[in-house]
Amino acid sequence: MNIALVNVKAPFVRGGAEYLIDSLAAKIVERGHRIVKIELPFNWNTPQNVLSHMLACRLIRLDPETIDLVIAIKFPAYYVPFANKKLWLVHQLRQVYELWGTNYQIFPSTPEGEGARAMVIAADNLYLREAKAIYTNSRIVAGRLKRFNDIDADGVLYPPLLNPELFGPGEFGDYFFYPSRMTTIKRQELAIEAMRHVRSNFKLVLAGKADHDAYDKHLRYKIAHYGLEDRVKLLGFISDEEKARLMSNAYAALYIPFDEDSYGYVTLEAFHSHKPVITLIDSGGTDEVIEDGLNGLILQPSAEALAEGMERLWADRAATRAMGEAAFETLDRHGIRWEHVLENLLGE
Amino acid sequence: MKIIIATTFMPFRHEAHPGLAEPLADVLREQGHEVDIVRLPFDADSESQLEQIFAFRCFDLTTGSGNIFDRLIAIGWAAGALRHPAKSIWLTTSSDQAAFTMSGESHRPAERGVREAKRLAAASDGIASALRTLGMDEVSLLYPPLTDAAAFVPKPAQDHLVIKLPQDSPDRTALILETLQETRMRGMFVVRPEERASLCDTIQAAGMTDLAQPLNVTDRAAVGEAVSTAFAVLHLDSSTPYSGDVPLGALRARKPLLLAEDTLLRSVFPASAILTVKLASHAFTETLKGLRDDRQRCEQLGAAGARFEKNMTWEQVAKRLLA
Repeated sequence: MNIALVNVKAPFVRGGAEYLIDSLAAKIVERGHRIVKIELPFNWNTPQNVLSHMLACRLIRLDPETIDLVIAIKFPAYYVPFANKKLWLVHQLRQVYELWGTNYQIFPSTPEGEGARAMVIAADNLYLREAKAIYTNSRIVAGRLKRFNDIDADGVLYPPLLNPELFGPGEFGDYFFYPSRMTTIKRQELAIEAMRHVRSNFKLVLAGKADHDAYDKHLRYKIAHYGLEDRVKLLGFISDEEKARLMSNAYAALYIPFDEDSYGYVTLEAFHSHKPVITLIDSGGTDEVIEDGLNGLILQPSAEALAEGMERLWADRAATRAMGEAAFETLDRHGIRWEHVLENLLGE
Repeated sequence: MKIIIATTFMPFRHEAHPGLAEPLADVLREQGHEVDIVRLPFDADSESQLEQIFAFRCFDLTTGSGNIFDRLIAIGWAAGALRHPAKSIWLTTSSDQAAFTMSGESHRPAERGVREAKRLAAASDGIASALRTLGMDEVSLLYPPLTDAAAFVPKPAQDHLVIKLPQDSPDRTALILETLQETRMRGMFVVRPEERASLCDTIQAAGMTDLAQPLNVTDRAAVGEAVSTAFAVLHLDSSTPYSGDVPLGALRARKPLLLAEDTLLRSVFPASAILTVKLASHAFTETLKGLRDDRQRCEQLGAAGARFEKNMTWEQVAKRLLA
């Protein structure tokens, strides 16, 4: 088959969705199909821009004589019209759904903002139903689809890692590791704040490319302001190999985004490395695989609670090792496998 | 600066401007810029061109995720429809030329995007003239350098020709087959994968499988080797001002480059580096026989061509498009 993977992207930004597309493409090619990746620009900084990009996606034309199947994963890429279209839904525009009324609301509460919100929801209600099938990457996304759009997903397909063999058990070093795209919703700042309350001598290592320079500078300022330069390392972008090495030798991992839809690749990378993961009760889909006390900790979203949780793990090395083993076993228990994903998306 | 390079492609068919974005991005990165490439699907054959161009007009490439994008370099007229206050447009293909020479109002979508550009460059006089006709006098000539320079190396010449024809050109194919018969030289036709079967049928029907064979344009290493060891390269593609690395690769490999008299390349390459040939098999035959008997002429052409190619660099392209 000739398969088009359709996504939206903010230029210069790479995150989990881009990794998901790359991984899916690689696995589909391994099955002998041909792939083309279509990445449409997306800028959501104003209501008008959001609506313009929705319209743009709707006006994109893909040739059914050369493309057999379209797989779309994010808003508004799934508006691209195509008869044989399936969705592996990672994101709707959450800011008009459950994030409306929170600090993450992006449209103003004005008639213009309210109107744009209504148009997004109406368009989702209309165009999502065009898809031949809708799979989601987590139960949370499926639940949102049902709650706000009254659409039943055809199933949840948990995204596996592209190269799980990169990750494996190593030493239990003297640092907690948090690799992720640096952006406010990932709450690296909260992790830095937590280190102010830590009394033991472990360190925090943060890695990942900042969405924009200002956030990187802000985090560096915080580290310097609190005098944490010796205990908090901000590495910026690192290679997959370096990330795997740091994860394998970490004491444990952190993954503390705000209200994330899925468990996140960080969680999988940690589990493949036999490390427990600390997350927060408001981190979203992480609790679909992280179980408090079994393969990680689920904590209150405060710097103090996070510090206390890290101290607790640090104080009991044997328990932490046991949690790491349980984390690895979790992968099998949830059937996080590419075969399962491809069987559903490709119908073979 | 944060620079976006935008171009278009037809999924599972071809890129509108294959291979141009990457070397330009590489040289800009070497100069310290941050570069991202945006490739948009565009079906040039579709009746919905207007809708697709309208879609491009709706995309905002000025900011995103807290970043300001300082420049947009659009390759091709369709990508040129994208909006940006600091936009450069580089037009290189026959499609670009056609967009501005269509009758009536058909060129309007292309024209509007191009009129917004701060810098406007074209790969040939043909495109530049079309733009000047529309009052865009600021357009300058900018032919693409080699996208894969390392593939083309001066090597001892063997007894074969590398041939580049326009798509679907039975007359020119017949002309070249006749030339091959008369000179008894082997011919390697550089073709897109989708043209291969048709060419093979033609060669078979002519009973010339011993003298003619297709060469897949996407097999860059094989094309580079064929050009590097060719006796001469024949370029009869009159349909487009830029059709890839083969003509310039011939100059880099110091091989005689024979251009049909109606090719647009004649306005780009210096007369000292090329041989212009009448569009007739006997003319090509005579020219090739003449070159066989005059090795000194071959070397002169090779030296002039190599001098010209050496000055065509991606640094120059970056400088011109960002000026």
